[in-house]
Amino acid sequence: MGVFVKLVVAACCAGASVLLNGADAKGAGASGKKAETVSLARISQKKYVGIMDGTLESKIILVADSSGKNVRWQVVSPYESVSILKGGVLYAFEKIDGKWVEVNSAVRERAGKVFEMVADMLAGRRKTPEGFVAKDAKDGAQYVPESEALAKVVAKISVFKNRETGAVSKVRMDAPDGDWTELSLESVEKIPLGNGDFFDASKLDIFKKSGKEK
Amino acid sequence: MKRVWILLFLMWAAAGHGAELVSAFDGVSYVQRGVLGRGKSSEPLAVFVSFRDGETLLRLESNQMAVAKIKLSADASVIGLEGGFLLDKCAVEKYVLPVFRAILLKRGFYECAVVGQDGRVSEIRADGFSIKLGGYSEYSGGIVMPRSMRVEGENFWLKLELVMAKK
Repeated sequence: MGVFVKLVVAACCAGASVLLNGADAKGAGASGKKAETVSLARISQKKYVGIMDGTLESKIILVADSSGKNVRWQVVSPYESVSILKGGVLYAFEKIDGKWVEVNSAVRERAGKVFEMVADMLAGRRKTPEGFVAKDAKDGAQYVPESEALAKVVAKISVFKNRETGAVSKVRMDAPDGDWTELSLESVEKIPLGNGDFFDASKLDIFKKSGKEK
Repeated sequence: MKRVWILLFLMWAAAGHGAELVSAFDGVSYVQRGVLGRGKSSEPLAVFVSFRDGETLLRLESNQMAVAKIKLSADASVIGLEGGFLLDKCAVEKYVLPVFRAILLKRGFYECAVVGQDGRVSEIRADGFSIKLGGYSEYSGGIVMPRSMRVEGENFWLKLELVMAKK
């Protein structure tokens, strides 16, 4: 399972990593003591499904701590879902009729490893998604599957960089059947870790559906 | 007396013997999001349905991967059917196809439908599963669709919420 999930999340976070690391300079307080912060990225997702007319858009908030070991991936529009990786365990929820429903995936363990990989990428410890070969591209990088099995699930991943800043601006994943998903980074900011609610699986309503914090 | 006749007619029609009920999902393109449960495990699920030239196309996804693809003709005959991640072709035929057909309220693919006082279908019963619909609301283009859908089967359950709908 999860090959495509792995790629979606990994590619997105690969994109985020440049910006997230770029924002690391901030965070030192007046006392000189470094305040504990997390990176919060706002992502716009466009999804093209061949049978539908046009693209479907959604808004995502990604939060990661400096270690990259704790990650929160929350879709805030047009539906709501939360995935939280903490201590190597992945917790996933979907909001239905105003209530959170926990997802106990049969592939939860593997999904957790996906998020570990995400953490690695956030920390800049991994460049190329597992199972892919990097190819040079004009404005970024392109990854193509190594195996035929993987090629049946994903055709390629493209990472686009801002020419001026060199920061990743967009990540696109193309499926073999012509469907695609595009993740655009809208903003990245450093915010205080606070009491760690971002990575608390019992704190699912930190972000409202509109994308604004409560 | 008049109310009794209306009630009898509704029961007769809802049992699939009279004029066919019109499904809120028929002729509409829509997206739903929710959870599919099987035993102790459950998976996130996205449902994409499109209506084109009399044909209805369904795509189920979990974790961005295709779980099932179905194409039906106007009378709900299968034009195409594929399995994928989580469900193989047989499982799609056994579980997904009957539910999809029942939702469309095509004659012969459900046993009975319960019509609420508002005149909207609140429940569809078929062999091996039932579908509960609720929270009817108006969507883009004045379409009235049920916001929530619950499917209870012998070996699975499904909780879905409508994300968008359009003609």
